[in-house]
Amino acid sequence: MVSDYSSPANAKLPPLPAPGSPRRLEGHDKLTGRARYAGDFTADLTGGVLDAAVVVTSTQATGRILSIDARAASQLTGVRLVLTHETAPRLHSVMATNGAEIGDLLPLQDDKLHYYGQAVAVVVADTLATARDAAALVQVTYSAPEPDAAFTLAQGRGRAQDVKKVGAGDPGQVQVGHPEKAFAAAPHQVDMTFDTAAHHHNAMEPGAIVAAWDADGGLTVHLPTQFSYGDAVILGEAFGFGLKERLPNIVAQVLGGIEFHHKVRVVSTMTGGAFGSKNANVHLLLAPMAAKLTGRPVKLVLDRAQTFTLMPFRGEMHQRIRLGADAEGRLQAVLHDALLAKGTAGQFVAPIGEGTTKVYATPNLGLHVQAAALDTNAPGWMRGPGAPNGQFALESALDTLAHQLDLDPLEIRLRNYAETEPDTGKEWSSKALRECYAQGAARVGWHHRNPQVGSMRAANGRLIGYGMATAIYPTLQLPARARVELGADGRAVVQTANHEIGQGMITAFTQLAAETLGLPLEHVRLEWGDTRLPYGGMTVGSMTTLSGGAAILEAAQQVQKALLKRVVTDKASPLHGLAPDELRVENGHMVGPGGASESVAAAMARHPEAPIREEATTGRTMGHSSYGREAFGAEFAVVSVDPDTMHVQVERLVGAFAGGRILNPLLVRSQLMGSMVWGLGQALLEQSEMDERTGHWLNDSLGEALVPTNADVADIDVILVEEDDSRGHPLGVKGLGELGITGVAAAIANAIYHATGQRITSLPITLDKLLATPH
Amino acid sequence: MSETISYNNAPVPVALTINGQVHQIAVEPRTTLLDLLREHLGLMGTKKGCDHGQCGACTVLLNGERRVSCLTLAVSHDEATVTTVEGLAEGDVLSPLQQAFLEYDAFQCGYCTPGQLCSAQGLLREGHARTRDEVRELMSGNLCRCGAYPHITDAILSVLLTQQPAP
Ligand code: FES
Ligand code: FES
Repeated sequence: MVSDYSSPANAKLPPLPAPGSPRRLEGHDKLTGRARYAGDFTADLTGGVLDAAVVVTSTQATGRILSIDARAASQLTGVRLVLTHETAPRLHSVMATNGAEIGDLLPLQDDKLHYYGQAVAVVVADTLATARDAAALVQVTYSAPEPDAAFTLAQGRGRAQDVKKVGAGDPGQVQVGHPEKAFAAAPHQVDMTFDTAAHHHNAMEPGAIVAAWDADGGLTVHLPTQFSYGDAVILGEAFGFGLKERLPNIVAQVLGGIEFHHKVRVVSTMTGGAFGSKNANVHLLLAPMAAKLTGRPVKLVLDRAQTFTLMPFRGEMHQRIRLGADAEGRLQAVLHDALLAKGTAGQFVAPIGEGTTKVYATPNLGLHVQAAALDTNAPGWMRGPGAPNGQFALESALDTLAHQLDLDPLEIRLRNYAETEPDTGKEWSSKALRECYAQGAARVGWHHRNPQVGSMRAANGRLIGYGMATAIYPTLQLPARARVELGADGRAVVQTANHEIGQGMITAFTQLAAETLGLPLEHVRLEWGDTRLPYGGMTVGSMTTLSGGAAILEAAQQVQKALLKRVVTDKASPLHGLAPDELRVENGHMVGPGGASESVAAAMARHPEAPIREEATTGRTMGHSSYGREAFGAEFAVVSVDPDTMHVQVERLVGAFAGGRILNPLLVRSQLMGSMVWGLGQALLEQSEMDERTGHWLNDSLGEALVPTNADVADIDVILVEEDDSRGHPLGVKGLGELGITGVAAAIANAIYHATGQRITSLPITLDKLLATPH
Repeated sequence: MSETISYNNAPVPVALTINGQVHQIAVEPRTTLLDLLREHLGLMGTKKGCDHGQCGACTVLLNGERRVSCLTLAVSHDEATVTTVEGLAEGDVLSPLQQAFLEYDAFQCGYCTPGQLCSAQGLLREGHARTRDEVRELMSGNLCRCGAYPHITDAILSVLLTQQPAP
């Protein structure tokens, strides 16, 4: 089951993943260092001048700033500005998308502290070295901290309040049937609590921004973001550009085809990883404020420690799961209570129950979400965002129930298979989860394991365990607009302001347009990530292909229709007189019956004055469907545990996922694999540790806040299970970027239980927890 | 406090051959090789992920050996030869390692990639890694938050197994 890679004899030439799929189109740029991220901007890109800005952050969480002494800093040669709450431009309130902190708390507007690591000054100088020196010389004094601050859930339990809406508007309170009663009456019960640690995205690229004001008072910023239009609107509101209409109105306008003619332009071409952390950030406002006062372009890059407080994270969560089952293991009641950390500023609460309410059939279902506002920076969206934690709890509890009833953990999931959407009763648009279970189980050798707990050992004496869990992630679609223009050279340009964050959007969108237009891939060019382009929506929630892809599909179809109509009515075309629907377009050629054909380039060249340009808007209904729409998968883990030290090594992860139609298997595989690596990190490594006395993230570095390294990561098998979701989406695709993480932590925890008999209910599963439990 | 701080930060000349080109430059003694590349020469291919030697994003080849350039003081390597990600390809032709990264999809966002490539190039030269596990272990100084590790390992292993042993 577990391959031995420690012997040179086993070093085989690895097979190429998805051999037929196009490779990443921006690959050469990324592999040769030519790809420019915002932090890589140099003065030649900003008109010959580019100053460096460095943020100064607070070393106290509560209380007030009494004074900021910037004299020494200002005296250094090259320093242009020390921006503080006393000197900063006054900002207008903004509506932050997704409940981000800046919706409630604008930076540098007053002397009040909300958290440790809050921005209290920005230093601008001609070089980065000088700006750093000067930042170290800024002296801030504070009033006494407030005595009753709360930085952890344990401290802030008294602040818990029921949450009506979680995530992007999902219900925080759900009741189907009579869950409490049914639980009490169930012959078999599991009642367990779970704790999961806070952890940070730690994208390799820290937050960064380049801001430049022009002579007409216009503002251009370059930054990695998942929502360029959203950031543009925030800037427009904050700097009082008369952007009175808030985001929803503006989105309605740009979707209607009204250009975003605005004095603010946001450009986001390369993003060095985002995972939910990049949009509506504090630094979005800091750099333009500074540049406004200096009158020169400014580049601001956060240092790693600053990303822990000036960017969001996944907050601490406490959960209780109660399962009531009959003698056959059929769920009679599922109750999920959760207490989540939030910030005192910022509205975000993770959609923790998105799995629980959708994954298993049960007549009685209860979800009760509470949040406690802590004196920390605000948690936010992070890959999954609630499902990895919710699924860890639910799938660990279900595993416990299976062992209690002496049932195979896979069998108990099949017995509770939801044939319709549990909380709504809707039919699924598609659901190939049974095939995922079957293919994943076959690949990992599930049925060949010894199911007895603690029964398996490797030749070297390590305990071996197998575990599994279900993966689930909602399939959603956002409004988006795209423009496709076929030029006189027969080549197409596709425009949509969506974002490349490593998921492979550039390749997937170009490929989709080329396939739809019948052009070779190299005859299509994508323009993306710029508010001068049509509204492309947010790059979030695994929705990029569903949202932007749908708009590109429609616009490209219209272009092809117009092209065919043109040639059949064009006397100079060999295809003249044929019916458009008799023609196929393949590889840049229009082909009719009997071999008549003309190249797209030749046809377009006859009318250089008339390129064909079409635009389309899709997703206005936000993907609302009469069907239940979720992507599902099955995660399997094999672990080995040292019986003396209890060191855990994940030997193998197998994920079988059904995601509808797969446009580019290479990209999808990579994304799911990366997502599973995240699951492994959440299971065993990742935790941001809070100093309960000061509110300081103690391990705010990549040396101490552990993330998986190459050696931590096992062999990962990704199986793409065939599924037809054409009645769910015009492209038949589902969202896959986050599916892969959900269920991994539970599969690993369940495997550790199988290996050792120890049920660890708190993440990450570190040695101290395994050693504390008697074994 | 500020009044008492004084640096001896007079620039010191240093000569470095970077990607085949000789650079004579004077930088403060505290300037890291990473900041010299990025801030002084505008060679932005080498990335800063932590500035603390913890992530590997800034890895370059210093006299052929892999080094985290954020922990390397430029002035202590006068006359050294430096290869950065910009120097790996021959014109427009990718090196075997770069080509393998492309074919095996060994990157996603691309931010860790310059460091992974230089580190892998150094690993191949060291000649210690012969197995998949050894590649994993010896590439563990380079974090990839996108989680491309299995493909990074595949790409490196493919070059390791196909390249001719160095003469
Ligand atoms: S930037 Fe040098 S190791 Fe992270
Ligand atoms: S490719 Fe994104 S961090 Fe490695």
